[in-house]
Amino acid sequence: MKTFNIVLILLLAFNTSCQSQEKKNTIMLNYKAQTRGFLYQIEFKNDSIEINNNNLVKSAILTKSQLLKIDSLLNDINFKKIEDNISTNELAVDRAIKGVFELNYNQNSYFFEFSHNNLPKEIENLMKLLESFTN
Amino acid sequence: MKKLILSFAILGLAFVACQPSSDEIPTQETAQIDMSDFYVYTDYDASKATSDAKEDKCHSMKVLNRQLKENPGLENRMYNVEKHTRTFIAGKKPDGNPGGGNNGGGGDPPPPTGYTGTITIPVVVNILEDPAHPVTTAHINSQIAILNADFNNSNPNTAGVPAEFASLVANADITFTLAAVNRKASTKSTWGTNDAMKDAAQGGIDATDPANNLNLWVCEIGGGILGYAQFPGGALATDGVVIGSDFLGENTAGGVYGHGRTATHEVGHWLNLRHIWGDGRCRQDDFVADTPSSDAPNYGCPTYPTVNCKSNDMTMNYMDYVYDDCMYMFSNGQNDRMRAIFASGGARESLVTP
Repeated sequence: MKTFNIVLILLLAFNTSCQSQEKKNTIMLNYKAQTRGFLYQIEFKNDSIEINNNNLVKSAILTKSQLLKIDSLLNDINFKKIEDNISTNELAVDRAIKGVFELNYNQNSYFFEFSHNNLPKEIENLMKLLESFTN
Repeated sequence: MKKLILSFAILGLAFVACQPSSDEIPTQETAQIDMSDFYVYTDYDASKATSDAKEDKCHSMKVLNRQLKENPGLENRMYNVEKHTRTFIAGKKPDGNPGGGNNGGGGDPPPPTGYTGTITIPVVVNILEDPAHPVTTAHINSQIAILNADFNNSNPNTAGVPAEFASLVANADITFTLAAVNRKASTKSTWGTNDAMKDAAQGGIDATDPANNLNLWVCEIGGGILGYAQFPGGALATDGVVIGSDFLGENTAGGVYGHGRTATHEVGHWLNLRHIWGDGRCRQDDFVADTPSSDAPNYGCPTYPTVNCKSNDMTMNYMDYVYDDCMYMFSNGQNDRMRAIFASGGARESLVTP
């Protein structure tokens, strides 16, 4: 009985640890930039990605190595230094396109509103990488 | 106990002072020259609108103060244009009190004198010609005709305005005439939105007498932008609207945006109209009393009714983001705003002054 209990506890601990690891590694990213006559959208969850570029939709199931590249790139971004950069002054006269960026990564949630044609370099690189996986 | 009560009182005060901008619908009828709801656009207004609403009023004031320091001239001019507009509109009301305050206290300036009759606006078309995106005389002439239809309530699609809005359809009585066409060769595929196309030194074409003309630049803007504008009160050298080459007039290359309404929309901004949703949530208004509150643009060709902020959106308004054929009205309130800038002391008075 004693041995059974120990095995049960170990199994439970192992399972919880795996779940936590899985949760930690789950990446969810949504990005949508839209204005009159333009739509650009990325939906990325687990290993599945779909990019809608003005109604040209491309999707892919990512490989482990691709996921690792994304993870590594995200890990290198200091999200504390990333700032919203959309100006309503520009939106009000159609000079800019608002891009709404939502990311769940490493159990953190990030939300930004960018000027789509003036993305922070790190975010631009991330999007380029994601795009390269759907080509 | 005293300390506890004091703490609660401070907490309560802080809570009241930083009330979130909820989705309440703004009261459209405001005091005649009440400028309290006038906002100067700030980055924060847009960026935090959905993410951290509880703090936005307090924080946006900080951002506003910073921006006013950075560009006090522009913000002051925008404020003055808005105040002049509201004074003009209030003066039109039977019980109008253009000077503000209660019952028109002595010493208030007289209301601006409105310009009655047709307003004629000469248009100078400045084309940065990309051979891959030709701009023909037919495109130009059709654009002028479309502007004239839209600003004189003769867009045939206007017959489709729902009964709810039928009495609000305006005839702005503004006529556009083609004054000149300037062409310059360009192979630039992306001019962007930093006004380079308006500057000969950067390869563009300088504005022609912007105090007396509407300058309309046509070029490859790029980046998904169909067109953009400048509000009244900005620098004269960049005053006007910019339209992407494929979206000028009737142009098959523009698809559902190839029927000239990008120019109608941008000229609306040039005449001091805001987007119909106010570029914010329900509380952020377009400063027009007869357009329903909304919290986002509409796209495509919406079916009526489209409900947002507890009312039906005026999706067919030229200042929404729908397809060209699905926008076909200005409202009377928008017409008042446009006419105001041609009144005495208005930002575009020079266009109607001999």
